[in-house]
Amino acid sequence: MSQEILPRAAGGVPPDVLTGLVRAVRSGDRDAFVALTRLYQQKIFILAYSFFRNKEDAVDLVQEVFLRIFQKIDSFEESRNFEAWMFQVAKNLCIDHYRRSRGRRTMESGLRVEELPLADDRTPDAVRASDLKAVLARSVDRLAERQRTIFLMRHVNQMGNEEIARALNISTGTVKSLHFKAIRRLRALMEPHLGCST
Amino acid sequence: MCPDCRKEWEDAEKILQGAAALKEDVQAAMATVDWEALSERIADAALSRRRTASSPVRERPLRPRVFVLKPLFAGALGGLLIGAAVMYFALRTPPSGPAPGSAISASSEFIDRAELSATKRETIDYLDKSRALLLDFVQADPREAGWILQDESSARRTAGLLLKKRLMNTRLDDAAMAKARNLCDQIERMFVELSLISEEISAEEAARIQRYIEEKNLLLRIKLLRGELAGSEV
Repeated sequence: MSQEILPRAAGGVPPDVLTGLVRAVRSGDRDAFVALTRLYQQKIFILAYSFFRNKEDAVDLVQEVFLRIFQKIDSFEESRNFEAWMFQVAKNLCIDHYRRSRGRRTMESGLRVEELPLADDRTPDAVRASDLKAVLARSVDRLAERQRTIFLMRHVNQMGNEEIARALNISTGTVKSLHFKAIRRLRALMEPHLGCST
Repeated sequence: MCPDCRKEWEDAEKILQGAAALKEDVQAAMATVDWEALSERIADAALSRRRTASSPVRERPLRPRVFVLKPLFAGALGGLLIGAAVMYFALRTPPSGPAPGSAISASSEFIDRAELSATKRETIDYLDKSRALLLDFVQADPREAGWILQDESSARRTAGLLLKKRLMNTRLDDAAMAKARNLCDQIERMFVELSLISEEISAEEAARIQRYIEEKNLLLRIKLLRGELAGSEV
């Protein structure tokens, strides 16, 4: 199974090349680890950035993910999908950090979704688009954990349903269902803003 | 489409537009990270941690941790568990109403359509920006083409489009937009080549690339595909 999903999952890296890289990293090859990091660091950054919306936090998380991968690579079984394993590590670390930082993290305005001013029909498109982005960002924060992760993976990481299912180790049906619930919840949270921004 | 469905459709589209705006923030942040330096830094830290970890340390002997339930606490906990189990079976009611699966499936299709529409819009945006950049290059005097490519704003536009394309790939595949994927791949290859050309590019080399773009009808094909996508938008 991993044979058929790896080429796409690894962004075009042939499975044997990836396996070779993992083996080399396991034996302590620095260059192989740098190559592996370069292959995936941007994907992990996107995921982390969508959680924290802060470059420094996202970069820190990228470092932590790859350090964890290097530390745990001996326990990785080659029959598994490397990218799924890596995303699992990244997702868990993102959620841990997110929980810890939610208390201290303050948004630019510090307002909740309900407290944000409604979009004004007379404002230019650019202003409305930025309002919509701000409202969406705050609404995404209020989604349940799995819904938020899936929404961000789908729309910010640009991952397909199957890719997300593999990364989170759940079925494609569950991904679709959680994605649908996320959009429905976002719609409910954003309703006053959606109504005015047409 | 009934008014409620129309409203739902419009709301889903706006949410997806907002998501596209979030993605642009990520792209802007990514452009400011030195990825090569980051990977080197991570490798240094990983190896130094491994060296530290492998240095001999005296381990503390493990003390067995025994959790002993006090009789009173154990009785209360047991009672609670049994009570909860009885309540669960006694009060459990069969699910009523339509099966949730079908509603979710139908709505998922609805969202898929909204996503397809968003992908088309995003592709149109990519095509517009690519066409503008290629036009700047094609219309330039071959002797000045190198300068145009090295101009900071053009270099930023090229880098932005390369990143955008990378993020669009999965969406184009998911939406089965093979024709768009094919043309976008060709544009991407062109941008990769243009981004690799030094400012010392000769007038002959610039003229060769300009001819190549014209011979491949790249600009015309972009225009046609753009029209096709815009025409099929919901």
